[in-house]
Amino acid sequence: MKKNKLWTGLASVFSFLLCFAIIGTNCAMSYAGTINGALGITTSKLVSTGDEEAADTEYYKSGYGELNGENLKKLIADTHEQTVTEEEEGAVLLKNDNSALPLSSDKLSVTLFGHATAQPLFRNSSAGSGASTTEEGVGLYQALKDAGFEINDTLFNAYVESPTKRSTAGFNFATKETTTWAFGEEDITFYTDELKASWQDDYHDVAIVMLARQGGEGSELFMEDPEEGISQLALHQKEKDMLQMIQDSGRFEKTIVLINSGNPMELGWLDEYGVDACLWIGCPGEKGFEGVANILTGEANPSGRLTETYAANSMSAPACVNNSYSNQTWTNLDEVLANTGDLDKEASYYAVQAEGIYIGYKYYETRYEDLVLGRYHADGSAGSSTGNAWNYTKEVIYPFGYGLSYTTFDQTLDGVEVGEDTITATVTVTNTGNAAGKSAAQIYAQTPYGEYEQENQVEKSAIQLLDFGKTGLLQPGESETLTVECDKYLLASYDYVGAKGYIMSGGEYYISVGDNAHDALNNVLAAKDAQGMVDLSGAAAAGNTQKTYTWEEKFDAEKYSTSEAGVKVTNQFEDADLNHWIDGAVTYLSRSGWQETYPVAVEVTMTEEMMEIYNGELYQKPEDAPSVSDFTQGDNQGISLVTMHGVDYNDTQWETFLNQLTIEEMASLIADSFGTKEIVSIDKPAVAVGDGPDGIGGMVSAFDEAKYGFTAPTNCYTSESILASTYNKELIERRGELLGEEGLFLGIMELWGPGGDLHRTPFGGRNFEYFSEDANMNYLCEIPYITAMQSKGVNAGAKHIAGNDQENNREGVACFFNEQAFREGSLRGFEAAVTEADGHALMQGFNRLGLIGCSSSAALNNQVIRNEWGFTGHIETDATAGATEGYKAHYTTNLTAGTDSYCLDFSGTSARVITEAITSTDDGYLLGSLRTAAKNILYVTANSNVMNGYSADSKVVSVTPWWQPVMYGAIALFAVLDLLSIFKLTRIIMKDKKQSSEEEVTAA
Amino acid sequence: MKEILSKKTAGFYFAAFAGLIAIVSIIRYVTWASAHNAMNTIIWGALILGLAIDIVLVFYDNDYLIIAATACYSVALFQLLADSVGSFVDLFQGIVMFGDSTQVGTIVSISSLIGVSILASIIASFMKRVPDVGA
Repeated sequence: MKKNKLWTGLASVFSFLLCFAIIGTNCAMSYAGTINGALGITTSKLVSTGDEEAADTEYYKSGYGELNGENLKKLIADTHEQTVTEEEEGAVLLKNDNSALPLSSDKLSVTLFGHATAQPLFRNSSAGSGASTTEEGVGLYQALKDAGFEINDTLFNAYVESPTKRSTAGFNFATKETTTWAFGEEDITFYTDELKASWQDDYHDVAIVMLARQGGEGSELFMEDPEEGISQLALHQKEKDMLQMIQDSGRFEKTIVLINSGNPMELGWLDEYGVDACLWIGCPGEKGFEGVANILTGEANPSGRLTETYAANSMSAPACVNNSYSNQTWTNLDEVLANTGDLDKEASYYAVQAEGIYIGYKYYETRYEDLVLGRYHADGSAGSSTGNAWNYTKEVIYPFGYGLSYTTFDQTLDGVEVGEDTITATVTVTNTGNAAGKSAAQIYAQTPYGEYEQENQVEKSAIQLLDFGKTGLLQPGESETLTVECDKYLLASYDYVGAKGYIMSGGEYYISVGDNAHDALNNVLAAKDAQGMVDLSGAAAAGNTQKTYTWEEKFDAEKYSTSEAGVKVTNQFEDADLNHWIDGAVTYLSRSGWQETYPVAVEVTMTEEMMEIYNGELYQKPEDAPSVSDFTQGDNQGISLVTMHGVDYNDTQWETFLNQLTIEEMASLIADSFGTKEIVSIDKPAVAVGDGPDGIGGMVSAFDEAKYGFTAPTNCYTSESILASTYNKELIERRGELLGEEGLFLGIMELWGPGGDLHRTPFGGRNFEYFSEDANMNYLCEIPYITAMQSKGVNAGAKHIAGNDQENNREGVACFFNEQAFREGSLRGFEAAVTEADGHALMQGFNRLGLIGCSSSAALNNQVIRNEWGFTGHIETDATAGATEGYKAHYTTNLTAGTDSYCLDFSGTSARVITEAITSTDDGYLLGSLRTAAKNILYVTANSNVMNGYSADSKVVSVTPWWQPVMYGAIALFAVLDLLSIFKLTRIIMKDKKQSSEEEVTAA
Repeated sequence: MKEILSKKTAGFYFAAFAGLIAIVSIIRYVTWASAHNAMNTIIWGALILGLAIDIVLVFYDNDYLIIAATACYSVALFQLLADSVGSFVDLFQGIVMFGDSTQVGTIVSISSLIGVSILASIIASFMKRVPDVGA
């Protein structure tokens, strides 16, 4: 090879490498926070002055004592035990004919059926801990083995080796298909004669069938799936064939079905296939299958109760009419898109929540009451799954609150005391069966639905959960009296038409205890002397008036007209009601006329007036905006962040503190990359946050080996719906406490969780990480969870406020609703996070409230969350991912509307845009908003465990991550080599030219 | 043209092949990016510049130009991958948030095409593209 070709080739290679190094470095710097997190690098360190030891700088203490490896092992063991306990108490026994469960110890030779037994669903795809997918995850097979089961390995191994795989909502790289959705069950031909022979002579004590349904973040379950074009929650042909094969074999003494799903399956088929017992196990997390095994063996007695309705036909929920799969695009879509700068995909869809308050049991049970009472056309065919007159027992398989036990309980309502602000119910629970067990006392209420309510469109659920309690382990014959103190506020209704505020309706109120919502309602109906009640099977039910309490209330529009923070509570979301823009555009479902008002698909043509708002960039610098020079910035007074720990949010010291920061320093805080950078001038360290809710995920999801001598992933707990189904506030509190402890050992400032959204429909992709279809259940679960977590200095960020109830089209979908439904539904779960638990962080939804995104809604962020609820903390967007276009990039609008920080803004786009906007236009108003955001973020940081170890004299210094000089070094190296190659090449060319010239001269 | 081609050696054909593949890359990228709000001037600009250089090389051989073509294709490739980090994150996390994991297959196929152009350019760089004078 000639030398010039060698250097040409090398120059090409080094040019290639130089391009890689330059662009790669630029990209890596944009994701610096992510890389640092993945590599376990902290970009700041504490320079000790020695005063930390003299002062008590342990502001938040671990219950395990010193943060060392030995205590971490104890914590990890406790988190595993908690997960097993949650599963034992949260799994719901749906059917148990002839006491098929528990299994006797000599009948544990079993065959596992269903591909899910080899591909268990620990959790759905989403944020949170990934521990279940590591070797730490214990699946059904291993859990049963450990519990002493003998398992048919021939069939199990065939499942393992089968190419069949249930999709996990990811892209199939191999096939390059736009969706990898796969049902994940074996065809009947899979079961060869050889496989069938494996259970002929052995392993036929029990057939354990596990069925899974999987959705995830960004992936709604299908209303019509690609497998058969039917609801993903329905039984599919492959499953029918498998169940029929099991039944026809006649070999199995029992058939047990496990529902491994965060979403409720349609289970009207259990009798048809001779299923003896059925257990809903949700998503059991890392160790929860051990709890499932304990339930099967009777080591644990199931005491879980459903937090959602199991309908015969999931599509019968009125919310499904305008659900994510039936979202519509504006009829004048082209015009809409031409008039907005937002991206097409985030500006095209809307969802009209015409179901109003009637989500889940509030629909089925309310219509049932009106059916029994023969009113409001409840027997109409609208919404009927059969196409005939609506019939409760044809619609509901298992109601909200339902669940069986290995023993029986008797519950008596001993008394109810109705106070000014609380209602105290006393319930005695007696174990009347033969096994030890726990029982949940479910307290329900009915409030009046009279003329005023009908005239003012105040809708009422015929029964609503008010609160609950749970007994300890009761031995046979043992009793326990529970005193449940309920918040009377939950009986108030939001009247968006008449009073424009919360009202206490006038008339008869009922309190009822029941085994489930339907049972409680039958008790109320009995107290009303109603006739014609039925139980779940359709048989006549009498109800029990002894389990009800009745009293009168006078109409009162004043009691809850002012929030505890002293702010008038009145309409804030009128513009989220489609009727505000287009008269009569939507008819909300009303019990005053079931047939007439049952939702229909709503077509919307966006008006010009709507388009002006929809455009999204709402902020304009006010004419009277102050100048930037009106503020003091960069005036360092030597006040370090740790000295602000415990300083009241309204203390004027905060203003002096903020004066120390430059605009750039404050702006750096709003760009959250699962944490924020250090600010040396105020001795603020770089901090990390975790992403939940089923465990601590994000950048810091494993314990530091250098610190503890070993590493381990954070725990993956059970799905939030399983946790709620325990109906055990102590367990919920313990979850929060353990998450807080894990956060302490990790040193994270906050954790994004719990999830507080509604299971608006059974198809929600993230229903598994939200508590319930019932807003009151969300409200009640958040209180112990958040309070306990924050006691460890880990701030809780409930997500995603609000109305983020669908995964398809979630980015920018315009959700229309009425204010009663919104306040009593979507908002309520988050309300308790603030007003009752003093949660210090909230994450917004991707959706719009009407036409305005959650992040741009001053009504949501400033008026409701901060003013009405009295929130002190920071409000963050959902993942903006450093957006430079589209509705996520409305940074100035969002900041001035009360949004403080931008989730996963690794590249710091928000900080750059805000800084530029302030300085280039001398916008003091925007600077004031930035100061507020910085204060909110720093307030939360100062009051977190990351301040542990810091004293007033502590100094923070920056640390350059090792990979950055390496990257820059690579650029320099490749640049030098490239230049050297080109230099060498040039010399050769010059030499050749010179030689050629000389030769030509010589030749001449 | 026949006369031009008759005077070329293997290196030339590698360079020409790089240019041909670049045409396919440009068509695929522009078609895809315009439909997915992913158009980046740096990427299509670098591809077109690389192609233009390869076309010049047909008529005028120069060592610096083949280095420049390699650099152009390299810029296009790495910028495309850098722009697509979010989609890869979504793919590996199994979520829908930062990008569009369903587009990863297309991104990888376009990247592969550009990668072929780079490889062909580098090979061409090490080889003679025209016979030595007097050979």
